[in-house]
Amino acid sequence: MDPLMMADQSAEAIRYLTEGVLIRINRLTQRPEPELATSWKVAKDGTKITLQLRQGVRFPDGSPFTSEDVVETFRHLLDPALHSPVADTFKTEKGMVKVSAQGPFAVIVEFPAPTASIESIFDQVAIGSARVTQRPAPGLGPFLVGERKSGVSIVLKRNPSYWKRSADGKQLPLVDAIRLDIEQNRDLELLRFRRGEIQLIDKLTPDLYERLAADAPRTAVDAGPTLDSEFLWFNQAKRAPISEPTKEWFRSAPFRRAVSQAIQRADLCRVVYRGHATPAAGPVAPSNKLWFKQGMSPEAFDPAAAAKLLAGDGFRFENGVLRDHNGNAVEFSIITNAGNKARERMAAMIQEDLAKLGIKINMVTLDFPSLIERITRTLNYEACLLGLVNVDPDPTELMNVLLSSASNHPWNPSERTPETAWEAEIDRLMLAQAATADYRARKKCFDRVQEILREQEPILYLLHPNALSAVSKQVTGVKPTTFFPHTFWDAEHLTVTKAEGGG
Amino acid sequence: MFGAADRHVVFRQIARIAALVLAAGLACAFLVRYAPGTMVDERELDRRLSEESIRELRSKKAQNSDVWANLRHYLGGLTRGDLGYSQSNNAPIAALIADRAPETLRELAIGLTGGWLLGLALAIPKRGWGFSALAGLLLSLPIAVIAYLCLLEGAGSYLVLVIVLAPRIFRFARNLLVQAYSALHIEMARARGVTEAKILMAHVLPAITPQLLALAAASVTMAIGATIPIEAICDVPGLGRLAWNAAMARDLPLLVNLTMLVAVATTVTMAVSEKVSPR
Amino acid sequence: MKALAIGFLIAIVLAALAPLPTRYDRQFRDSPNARPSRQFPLGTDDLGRDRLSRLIYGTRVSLLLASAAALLSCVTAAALGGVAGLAGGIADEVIVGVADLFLSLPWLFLLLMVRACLPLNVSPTISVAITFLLLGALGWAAPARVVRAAVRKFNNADFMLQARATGCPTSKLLWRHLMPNAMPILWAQLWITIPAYVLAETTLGMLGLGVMEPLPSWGNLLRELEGGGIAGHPWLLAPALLLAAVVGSFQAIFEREDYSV
Repeated sequence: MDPLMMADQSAEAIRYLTEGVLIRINRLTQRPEPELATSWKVAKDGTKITLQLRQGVRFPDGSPFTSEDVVETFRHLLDPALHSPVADTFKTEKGMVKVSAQGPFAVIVEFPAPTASIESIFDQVAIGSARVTQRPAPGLGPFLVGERKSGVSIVLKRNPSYWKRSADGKQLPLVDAIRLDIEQNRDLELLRFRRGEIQLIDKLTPDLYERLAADAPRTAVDAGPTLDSEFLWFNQAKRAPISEPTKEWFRSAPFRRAVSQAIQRADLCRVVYRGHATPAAGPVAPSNKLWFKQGMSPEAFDPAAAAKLLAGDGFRFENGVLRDHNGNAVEFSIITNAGNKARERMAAMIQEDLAKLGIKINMVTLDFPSLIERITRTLNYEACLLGLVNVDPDPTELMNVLLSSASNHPWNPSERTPETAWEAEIDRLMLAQAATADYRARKKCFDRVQEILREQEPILYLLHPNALSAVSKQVTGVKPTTFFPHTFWDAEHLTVTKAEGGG
Repeated sequence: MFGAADRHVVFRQIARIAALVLAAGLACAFLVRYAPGTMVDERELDRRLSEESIRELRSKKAQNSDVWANLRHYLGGLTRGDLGYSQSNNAPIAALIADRAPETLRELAIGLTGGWLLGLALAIPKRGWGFSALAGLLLSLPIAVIAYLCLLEGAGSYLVLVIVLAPRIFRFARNLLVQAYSALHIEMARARGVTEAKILMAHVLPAITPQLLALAAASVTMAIGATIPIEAICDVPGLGRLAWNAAMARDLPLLVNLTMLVAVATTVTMAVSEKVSPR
Repeated sequence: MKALAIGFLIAIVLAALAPLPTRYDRQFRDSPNARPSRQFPLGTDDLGRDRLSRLIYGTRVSLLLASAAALLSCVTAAALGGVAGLAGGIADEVIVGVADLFLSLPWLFLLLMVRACLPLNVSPTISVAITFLLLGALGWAAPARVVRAAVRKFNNADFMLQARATGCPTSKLLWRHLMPNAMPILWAQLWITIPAYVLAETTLGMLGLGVMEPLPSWGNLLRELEGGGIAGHPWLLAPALLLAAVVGSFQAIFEREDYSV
C-alpha cells in the first residue's frame, strides 16, 4: 500500500520501520530530531519552514536522495485525487501548501496560514523516490519489506543502504530482520511470547499484563499513562431517531454532570485496568505536560451531589426508579464495540453505578461496522462508550473531534452552525489556537476549551490507560514509551541475543 | 458403461449443484449488502481526514452498492479467472484464496485422517465403557471449548479437528460394528474357527462399507463447518479465519466467494453421501 | 444409565429454578477474581460477581431458550419435511434445495447481522430469546431431511397403502396414520436438537456473539477460559463440566442417529 495512505496501526508500524522522514519526533523526549533533514528554520509567523537535506543518502536502487524527491513526494501527497489522511493535515481552507526546491539539498515549504506545531507534521510524511512509477517502492528507512504472508506476517529485512550509523560507527540497524506477526487472539499472542516465538508485544491488555507480571515480572513493562482516553458520550443530535424525552435528558448539562458524578472512575481504573490507568479530567492526559490544564482534576464520585443536580433539574427518585418531570422512567442504552473486554466490563460497572441513581442502562455490544454506522450515519443510538488513540500531544489532533461542523464531532456530527453558545465558543477557540504558532496564546485558548468541556460534559472522560508492553529478555536496547510505537520506536538500535527459554 | 440415463442423472445433479451454489452466492450478496455497517468505512473515523476526503470515501462506497451490477461484473470476471478484489485485505481474491487454502486443506486432511484412524481404531476392537464415556464427554463439549483447551496446552489446531471428529466417528462406527457382529453368519464363522481378523476383513467391513462411506462424506461437511470457529480461535491463517475477518469487515466480494466455495463443498459431499447411503 | 441421566436432568432443572444465593449481576468490587470461599463457592469473576449465581442463572437461560429454539426448528422441520416426503415431485425438490441452501449459508454472519439490527432498548432477556429463536429458525434444515426420509418410508409402508386402498381421506391418513408413526422420530429430533442449540449458543458466546451482559449464559461464562491459568484456577472449568454433564445426559437418553456436529 502507498505509505502516504497508511491508516491503521499495523500499516503505520510498517511505514515507521521502512520509510524515511525529514524530521522525526523522538518518542521518548517528544522533541523533533533531524533525520533526512539535518536542520530547519521556521519563520516567525509560522507560515514557512526551510529544510536543509542530508547529503550522501541513497535509495536502495542506488539513486541519490535530493530535494527533487521531497518535492515529488509532496506533489503526490497533495494530489486532490489521493485523499491521504496525511495530506489532509497539511490542508487548510486558505489554500494549498507550496513546496519548492532551493538547490539539490534545500527545500522550502510554505503554508497559506500560520501552522501550529509545524515540525510534528513532517514525522508522518514518508519521503519516496522521484523516479518510482509504482508505489509502494523501497524507501529510506532502516528496513525493507521482504517476505509477506497476507494476514499472517511481514518480514522486514535490513536496508543495506540505510544512511544512519550508531554512536560507535556501526552500520544501523543492528538486527538483520524484524518479523511483524498479525495476531488477533491476544491470549495466543502471550502464549507465543512465553514460548519465545515473539520478543515484543506493543500493547498488552491489563489482564494479560497481570498474568505476565506474575510469572515473569521483568518482561512486563508499564511505561505510564498514554495520551489515549476512554469516554462516554450522549447523542445530542436533534435529527437522531430517538425519543424526545431521551433527547431532552441528554441535552441537559446538569443531567450529564450528574451521570458523570455517579460513575466511579477510580473503580474502573482499579478493577478493569488492574490499576494500570489514571482517572481522566478531560481530553488531555496529565502526562501531556505541555497541554494539560494544571489544576484540573477528574470529576469526583459524589452520588449525593449527583442526586441534588438531578432534583434541581426536575428529576425525582421514586421506588428505586428515576423519573423526569413528565413521569418518564429514565432508561437508555449504551453501545460499545464487541470483543473489547475492557469496554464491556466498564459498561457493566457503569450500569451498576447508574442503577444506584435509579437509571436503567441497557448495555449493547455491536460489531465495529454496525457501531460506526450508528454513530456517524443513522445516529440511531443513545449513548456510546468508545476510546480515542492519540498519537500527537498537540491540540490540533482534536480539531476534527471538537469542531461542531466536523463529521467526527461525537455528540452532534456535522452541525451547520453551532447549536449552543458553548459549542460556538469551542469552535472559536480551537480555530484560534490553530492559527498561531505562539505557544502561550495557544495554551490559553486550549485551557479554556478544557474548562468548557468540563463545565458542559458533552463527553464524560473516564480514564487514560497506561502503555503496557511485553519485552523479552532476549532483546536489549528497548526503552518503552507511552507513544506509538511503544516498544520498537528505536528499532534500529535494538539487538537480539539467542533464545535460552521462553519469555 | 455409462448409459444415457446415468448421464442424465449426472447432468441433473451438476445443474442442481451449480444452481444451489449461485443461489448461495446471491443470498450472501444480498445479506451482506443490506447488513448494518456495510456502507461505512472505518477510515471515516480517522481524525486527520478532511470533510472532503470523508465525503469521497462515502461516495466510493455508495458507487459499489448495486448487487445486480456487481453480480454481472463478477460473473464476467469469473470466466477470466478473476474473482474480484478484497478491500479489507488489499489483495486480489483469487490470490488470497490460493494463499490460504493450503492451510485449511492441510488442517482438513490431517483432521479427517486422524479423526477416522482414531475413531475406527478405538471402535473396531471390543472396548469397555471407558472409551465410550470419553467419547460422550468430548461430544458434549462445544468446539470452541475444545479449541481453547488445546490452545492453552500448546496443541496445534489440527488436533482440535481430530478431537472433534474422532468421538463422532467412534460412536457411529461402534454402533455399526455391534450390529454387524450380531449377524448370524458371523456366529457361524466363529463357530467354524475363522479368525477374528478374517471375520473383520471378509465379513464385517464389507457389510458396513456403504454406511461408512456415507459417514465419510458427512464428516467432510462436519469438518468444513468446524473450521471457522477453530481457525478464528486458534488464529490459523486459513479460509475459516479469512471468512470470519471478511464477515467482521463486511468484505462483500470475499464473503460471496467463500460462501460459494463452502456451498460447492457442502452440496457435493451431500450428493455423494446420498448416493452411497444404503436404501 | 438412561434413568440416571433423566434423574440428573431433572435435578439440574430444579436447581436452575431455585432462588439465587446473590443477584447474578451484583458486583463485589473489593473482591474481583476471588478464590472459592464460603461466601462465594465458585469464587468471583473479573467484576467481583458471584460465579455460582451466574452459573445457576446461566443454566436457566441456556436450557430454557435452547428448548424453545429446538421446538421451533422441529415444528418447522416437521411441516416442511412432512410436505416434502408426502408430496414428492417438485415440492420435494424445492424444499430439499432450500434446505441445502440453508446449510451452505454463513449462519454466523446472519446472526451477527440480526444482532446488529435488534432495537437497542430491548432487554437482554428478549435479545437473547430472539437470538435463540433465530438459531431455531435457521436450524430446521438438518432435522427436515431426517423427517422427510422417515415420511417417505412411511408413505410407502403397507399400512398406508392399505388405508388408501380402503378410501381413507387424506386428512385422516395424516392424523390417524402418519402422525402417530412419525411422532417418535420428531420427539427424538427434539431431544437431539436441544443439546445442539446449547452447544451452538456456547460457541457463539465464546466468539463474542452470544448473550449480552450482564445476563449470564454458559457461553459467556466459558469465555473466562480464554484467560488460561486453569491449572491454578480449576473452578473455571465448572461451567464446562456442567455443560458436558447436561449434554451427555441428553445424549444418553437419545443416541444420535444423524451425523451432526
